[in-house]
Amino acid sequence: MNIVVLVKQVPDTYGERTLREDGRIDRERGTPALDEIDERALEVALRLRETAGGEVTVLTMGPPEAVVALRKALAMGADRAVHVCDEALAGSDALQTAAVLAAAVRATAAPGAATFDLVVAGNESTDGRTAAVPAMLAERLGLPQLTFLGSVAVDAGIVTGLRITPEGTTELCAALPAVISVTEGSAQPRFPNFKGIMSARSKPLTTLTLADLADHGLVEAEAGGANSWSLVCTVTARPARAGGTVISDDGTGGSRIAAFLAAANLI
Amino acid sequence: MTTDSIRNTAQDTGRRELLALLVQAVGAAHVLTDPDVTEQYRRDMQPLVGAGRPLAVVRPACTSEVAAVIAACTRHGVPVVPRGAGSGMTGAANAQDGAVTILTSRMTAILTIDAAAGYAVVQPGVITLDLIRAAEAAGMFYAPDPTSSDWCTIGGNLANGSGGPHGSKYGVTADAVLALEVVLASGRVLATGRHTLKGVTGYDLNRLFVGSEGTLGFITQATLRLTRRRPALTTAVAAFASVEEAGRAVTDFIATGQSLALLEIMDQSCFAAVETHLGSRLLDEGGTPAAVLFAQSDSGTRAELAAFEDAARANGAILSFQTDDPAEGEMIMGYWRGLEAALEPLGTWILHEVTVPRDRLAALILSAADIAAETGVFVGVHGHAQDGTVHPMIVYRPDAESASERAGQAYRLILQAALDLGGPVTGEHGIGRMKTEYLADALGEVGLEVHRAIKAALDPGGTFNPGSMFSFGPEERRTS
Repeated sequence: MNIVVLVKQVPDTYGERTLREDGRIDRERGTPALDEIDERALEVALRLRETAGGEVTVLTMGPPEAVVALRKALAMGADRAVHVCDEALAGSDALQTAAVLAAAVRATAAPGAATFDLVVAGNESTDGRTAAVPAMLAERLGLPQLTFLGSVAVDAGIVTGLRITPEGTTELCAALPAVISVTEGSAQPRFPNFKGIMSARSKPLTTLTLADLADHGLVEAEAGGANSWSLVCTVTARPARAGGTVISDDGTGGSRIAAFLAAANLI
Repeated sequence: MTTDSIRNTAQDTGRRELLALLVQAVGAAHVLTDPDVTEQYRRDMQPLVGAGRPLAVVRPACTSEVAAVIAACTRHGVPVVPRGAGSGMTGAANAQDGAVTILTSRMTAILTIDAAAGYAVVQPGVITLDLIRAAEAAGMFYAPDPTSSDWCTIGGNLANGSGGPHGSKYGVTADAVLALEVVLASGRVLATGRHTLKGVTGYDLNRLFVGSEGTLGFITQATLRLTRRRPALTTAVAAFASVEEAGRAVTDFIATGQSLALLEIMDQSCFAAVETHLGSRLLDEGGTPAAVLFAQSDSGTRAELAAFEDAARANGAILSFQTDDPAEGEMIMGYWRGLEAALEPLGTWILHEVTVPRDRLAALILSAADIAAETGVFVGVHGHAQDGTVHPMIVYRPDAESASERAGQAYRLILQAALDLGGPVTGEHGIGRMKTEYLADALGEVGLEVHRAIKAALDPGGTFNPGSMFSFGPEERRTS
């Protein structure tokens, strides 16, 4: 079974994350990292490969430095990597990203390359957090989408999983090929071991530009920041944390705290 | 009324007066007395020493508030305990019965980063990593990092004279200090040092306060030297089938005159825990190596890692690998960084610190393994190979029979082994409440007299952190 895993380099959640005035991520500041949710997606794929065989391809769309995220994914055990890298892509929103990734997924399945059976993504990136790309990608590829899966299994050409949302848990299944997205509970990612780090050096890493994707169904007007449907108008820093509410207990403290928590939808 | 109850009533009145003064100094919101709230400020990271119940925990916002708090405490004969993040390993910041713990958590401003002059001016509550990042943004580098930089504070680093893996190349915290502002027991504010690179006006009071462990004054501001931002790190790892070979590789490397930004050693016990935790072995076959060395260079040249690799190979390294790719380096260092998380599931851990002459590392590690067998607790050694300061990790199950006693025994035996090898009582963690019994012997009679004279001159009433560092005789112990 051949699996494509979508990965993204994001500012490390544990570090400083800042936006520039134009609303884009300030890449000069903050530490770039392979998105943790994508590490989990990759782990899901690697475990499926362990039982079903085949190849795992990691795919990213991002600036030149995003290659570092791909190399970590290779060190963790992916077989090969594809990097869609083009200056025109800066400022893409979820729609353009899905269009480009769809073409790139098709490119990995082009004649001469391995075909794919499954696309695995994290349910949402820790920076953009639209959680829309996996569904949009499935639509673009004309494939079934199983999103927000907390567990995944593949058997006899059928992918099944538990979709976990605040509204409830649903068991989903679809025939391969399909697109799935996984949540934090899906798998604990492995640490890239020394052998993996060494062997990552010799694994294939392909870079594609928008021009390369034109042959794979990418329409120019659908790609790149210039064609973005969404526009960042303003950026406002999160307000500094307010001093908090002090409740002095005069015998009614308990119920006032409960009311406070209820008003904040915490209980 | 009995004499005792009269005395108690007088004490209660005194305490109430003092609390009122503290509220006046810092505001009611910053005088914490609820035991549920103050609980979190009672201990540092050392599980083997006790902690008292403070009269109050206060959070001053500026030097004048610190001064008002300390002056009031001194007048009322109530001791103070300065406290940073509580990341220390000796109990030096532990609460004392009836004392006032003073936090730096509201003094977190980085006041100046002057790249041209090469220094930063900071308040004591600044998290060390925040200073490192701010310096980096200005094209500069703040080197002293006790490896806990993501949560320890500059004030704590100064009070402890902290070291860390960069110490041998860049110097320790003390070496970075240009000037300090210190509140004395009287509440008066002392300025020490200078802002220039050189300065020998009067005694070197910077050095007196750095490493004084909160026993002489409360540091409210520091001017710290910055160097230019470093080139990207290159990384190497080498594994050995025996501790002696790793030790000789270190000695041979040091003899070349090269200096690495970081040269860390990890013994088999530590490395096995990391391998288990990460689910990832370093070597394909042959099991966990007896010792692993991690090396990082920030010189921008290949000379250091080349010399390191030569030294490793010449001493029979079973694996030697280097990379100038920062991402690969990061992944390799994941094995080094994984240690504390790897020990967490094994029980309560004590990060011990001993320092030996750096050609005696192997001997210390082998002694530690013997002591582990003797006491029946886990001991794994890792640390800064280039300067001889290592951290035996003692891990025990607190619920096991006499476990903390055996852990304490291992702690003392390892320290004795380091002393026997010619090391000091402490290289970078300080004395605190863990090593007080060793201080008098280490300083000698004259040394102890000088220490006490200094303490008496600066803190005649014993306001600052009594019971830590010094162990006074009963007749000298203050009763408050």
